[in-house]
Amino acid sequence: MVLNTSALFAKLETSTDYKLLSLTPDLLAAIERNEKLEFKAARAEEAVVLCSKDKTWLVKQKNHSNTVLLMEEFAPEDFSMDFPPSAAPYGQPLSFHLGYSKQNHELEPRLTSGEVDISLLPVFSGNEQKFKEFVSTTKCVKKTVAELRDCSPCSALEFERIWPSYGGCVVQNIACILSRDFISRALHITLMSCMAESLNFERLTLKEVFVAVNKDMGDEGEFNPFSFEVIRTILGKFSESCDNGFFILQRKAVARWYGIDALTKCASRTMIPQEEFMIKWKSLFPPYFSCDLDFNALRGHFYRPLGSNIQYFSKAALPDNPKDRFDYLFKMQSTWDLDDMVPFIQELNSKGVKMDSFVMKYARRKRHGKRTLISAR
Amino acid sequence: MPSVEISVSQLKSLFENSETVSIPTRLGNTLLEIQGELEYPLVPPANDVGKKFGVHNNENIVQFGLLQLEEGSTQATMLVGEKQRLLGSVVKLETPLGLLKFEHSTGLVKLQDVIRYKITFKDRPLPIM
Repeated sequence: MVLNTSALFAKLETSTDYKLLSLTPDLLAAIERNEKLEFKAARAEEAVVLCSKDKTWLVKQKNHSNTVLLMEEFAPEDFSMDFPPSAAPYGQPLSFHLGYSKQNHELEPRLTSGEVDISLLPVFSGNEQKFKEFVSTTKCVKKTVAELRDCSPCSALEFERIWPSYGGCVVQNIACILSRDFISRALHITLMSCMAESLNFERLTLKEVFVAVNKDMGDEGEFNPFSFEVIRTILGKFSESCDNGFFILQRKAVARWYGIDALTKCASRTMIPQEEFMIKWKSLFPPYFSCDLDFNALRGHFYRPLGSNIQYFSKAALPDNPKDRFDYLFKMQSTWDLDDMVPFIQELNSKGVKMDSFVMKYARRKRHGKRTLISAR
Repeated sequence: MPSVEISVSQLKSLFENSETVSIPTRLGNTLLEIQGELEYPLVPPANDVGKKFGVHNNENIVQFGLLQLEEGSTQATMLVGEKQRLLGSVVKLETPLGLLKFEHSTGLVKLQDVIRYKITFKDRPLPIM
């Protein structure tokens, strides 16, 4: 039996520069792949996240009351120790360890989704002069995209995906959000231009699309709102980017966007029959543009006040409190099809239980063939 | 603090050749955990009868115990002061711990080591007669 005896020392004033971070398997794998890791926070007082190239972890500090000492081997200088008699059976120490930092907590990473805060960014609606005035006269956030990326609690790849999906763009070197109307105009012109130039929607390039859109666009020197950055945003939002640099148009996303436009234009003040709405929806697309119209894709943007006809409804108007939200929904419509209701209540289900079980907490559930009907208690 | 990159440059060689793992890491760090408070004065006393206090690299240090590890076993014994003996063990951490150093002067964060084992003492101390 070989015994290793070590004398233990500790600094009287231990260093506070060190922290212990739990390395979950995915985090450890990112380190082993030599990926860039960084701590990020939107503001100094906000939660800190840890980001790799494609993942984001929320970092929580877990306190404990144990004595946890970080120690390293050292050679004591000029130290004449007296070991207590009780230490005699353990023999003379062969090594010396010095505690240099005491830890009263660990940092625990929890995988989360990256977020980009766009609430204070300026909105561009196609008029550069108005945008300039808005930016100079208001206290909106004026950041470049790189600055926004750096302070967003979000990994680089997640940012690349989220930013165009929000309609994020760059105007006058300032990160901004394109207005809904402007996105609709830019999308419509992009689709028409691509079709006029016979571009393949399964194999688009940013440069080709930009040239196509700008072919007949105004005289030289005249302001053209459909800049390279605007087209980049439109392609980013409505197409899937391939590794070889091509974009594949996502017709479902385009159809959904036009569908919500159709709801706001034709069914926001009065309800209309679903069949009539489908005709109006189809009429909004550029001529000869083909795509399937899936009415179910518009769930979360309409309700049925009398059970059959539909009317536009914005989710933003709903109360945050779950009980109030259910009351509000039942005031608008007495009985809901669960599938129609889910987009309005999904975010309330923080524990991730099955939706038909979740609604039981606030409402009454009834099966009707294959459908699940939800009504007030 | 918009963002601070964690430098892992010091650990590259560690991951390139990491088939052997020991209680002290290959960079020499050991994690010692006692489920309780280890109390010692924050300044050296005027009369250091037991010659426990000293100086290392211009910093005051104290000798607080002896640690004994049996080779090939996970058992650990620690004498604290002259009166207490603790029995503990070497355990492999379920989740390895990264040792981060926050350099406040430069604003850098360095991942200095990856710790996979700890020496832990969970039981009450036994008296030494």
